[in-house]
Amino acid sequence: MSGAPLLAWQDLRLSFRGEEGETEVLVGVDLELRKGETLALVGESGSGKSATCLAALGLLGPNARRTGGAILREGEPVWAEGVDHRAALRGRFAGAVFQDPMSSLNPFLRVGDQVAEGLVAQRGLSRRAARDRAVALLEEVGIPDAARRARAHPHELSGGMRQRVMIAMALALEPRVLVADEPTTALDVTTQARILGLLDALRRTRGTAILLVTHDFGVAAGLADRVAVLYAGRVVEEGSTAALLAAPFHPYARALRAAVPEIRAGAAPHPPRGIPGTPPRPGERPTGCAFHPRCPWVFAPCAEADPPARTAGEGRVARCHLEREEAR
Amino acid sequence: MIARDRDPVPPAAEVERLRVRFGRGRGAVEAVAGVSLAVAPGEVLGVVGESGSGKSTLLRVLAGLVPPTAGVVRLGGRAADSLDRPGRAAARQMVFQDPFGALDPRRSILDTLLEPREARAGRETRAARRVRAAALLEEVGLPADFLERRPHELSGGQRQRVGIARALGAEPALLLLDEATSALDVSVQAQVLELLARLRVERGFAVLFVTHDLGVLDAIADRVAVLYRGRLVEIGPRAAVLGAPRHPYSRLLREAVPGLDPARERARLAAAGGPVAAGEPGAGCVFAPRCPLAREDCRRSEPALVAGPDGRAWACPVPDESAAGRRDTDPRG
Repeated sequence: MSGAPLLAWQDLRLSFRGEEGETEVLVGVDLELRKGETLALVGESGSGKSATCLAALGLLGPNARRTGGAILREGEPVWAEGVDHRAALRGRFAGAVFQDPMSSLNPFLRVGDQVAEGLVAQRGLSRRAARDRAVALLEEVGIPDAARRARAHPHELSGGMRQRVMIAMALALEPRVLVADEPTTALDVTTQARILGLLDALRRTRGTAILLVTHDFGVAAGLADRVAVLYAGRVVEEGSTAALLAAPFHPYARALRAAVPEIRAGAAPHPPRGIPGTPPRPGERPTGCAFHPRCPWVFAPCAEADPPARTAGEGRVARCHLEREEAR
Repeated sequence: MIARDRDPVPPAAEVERLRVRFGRGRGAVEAVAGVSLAVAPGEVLGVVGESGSGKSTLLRVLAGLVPPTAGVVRLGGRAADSLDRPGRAAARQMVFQDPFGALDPRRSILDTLLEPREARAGRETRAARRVRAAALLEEVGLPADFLERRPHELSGGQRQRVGIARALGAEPALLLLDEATSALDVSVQAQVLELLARLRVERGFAVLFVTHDLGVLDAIADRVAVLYRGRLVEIGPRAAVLGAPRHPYSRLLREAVPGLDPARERARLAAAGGPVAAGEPGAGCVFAPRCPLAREDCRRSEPALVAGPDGRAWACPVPDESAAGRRDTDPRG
């Protein structure tokens, strides 16, 4: 691996200002996204996975404040004190695909024109050239009969086709990073597999790095090279997808894995295991390890001391007081 | 109408040759095109299919939200349209997908919970209502102090628990669940599935669980029905249909469920990235345009459901040998 990572989060701390004052949503996130790789941020609602991602893209609203740490883009700080470099991150550096394409697409514009828009505005292409390029992009993301579909409005397309349009829009400016925030959650399972397959194929053909945000290990399993598990605003475990899914070390990662419904087709139904309790609300972070009130292995130090990040095998980092042997 | 007493224990719900058509003339869409199935008392029947399969329409017919165009609908052995309002309420209750949209934001949880039994509420004291509502909350694992809260103060999982508690209030023989867990995080989905598994044992109600995700059905269903474009293409015991699906469409759905083995998932995604097979079905099998096994005769006539030895029925004339090369997808393999 040569050169600086595309994106690096260094002990990033972030607060949101609301009616009841400021609440901390990220309490020291350390992560790297390397060139051409797929990194999945996995966690429940409120874990800080979307905030981690949006912070790096400069897509946070004005109520967000960085309270510590840094975000580096290829080694350069992008959110330095007093200077707003955030806009520079958008457009050419990163494209984004979100859960609900209907709320991101303009219902009144033909989808081809929406894909072409950025090419005219940012690349200075002529209308006609941009339109041709848009059709080529729609073809690349697997939309059959792309020239005809380019003239359709969003409501005339299925959910899967709309998500393909979003991907084409995100790729139009040839970004280095494609952010995919729950890109398949609203889709049928058959369409999910096709959209994930498409993202994987695009990563290989274009070399675009993917930052995937999901609550479901099943979505990360086939797509991600590495997985970072977030809980209450912090990465609690990180490692290669294969190693982490084969033997998650952190009790939260283990619980999240056990919650995925897997087909066993045995004699009796096989319910996935729920995680007792709920994640803490932002600002109500428990002392010590934030997961300790829900952890089945909780012991003396957990409520007292915040566990430091420790190496838990090759390329694995986990924040837990348990020794590896005890956890087995 | 008098109850049919041909059977000592009639199904909790039953449809025969159900058809539902939306719209008129050339723009008409047949959402359900001749489906017959029954939910036995206390049974969990999972109904699975993609958007446009007719699964939600089937459920809405049973809930009384959509009128059938043709066919017979029975609840507890009696024609659904012969039941009065309390009778229908006791026969079935619905839990919606979106716990945010399904609860009235202005109502407290207390009022939300007691609504399905408003007829009885008039004869109850306030104290008795509270006690009953608190008991319902306890059953779904929520504390009694939630009674004063409003839906926006609850998490998605808590709202879905309230939705279930609200349905339980009417002591229904059948619970209709419309993608009841698909808007939830997997961790919360697992909690709700655990809750449903416990409640069905304690209360003995039947469940019709509609979803696009076969993985969820392995967690809870006794039998699984697979719908495609308004037709029932396979139905049978959960282990049979999920373990070794016979209809090519059931196999497609089975293979679409993400697993947790990265090597297998990588291979699966690599195979799934291509463009979508297009084409409208003609006179024959509605699945033929997407089917990897389609033969000439599949495009001529629509296959009928044929019963197999293991309690299942499926609508595909292509013999199973054609699927022999797909054994790698068999979880027991």
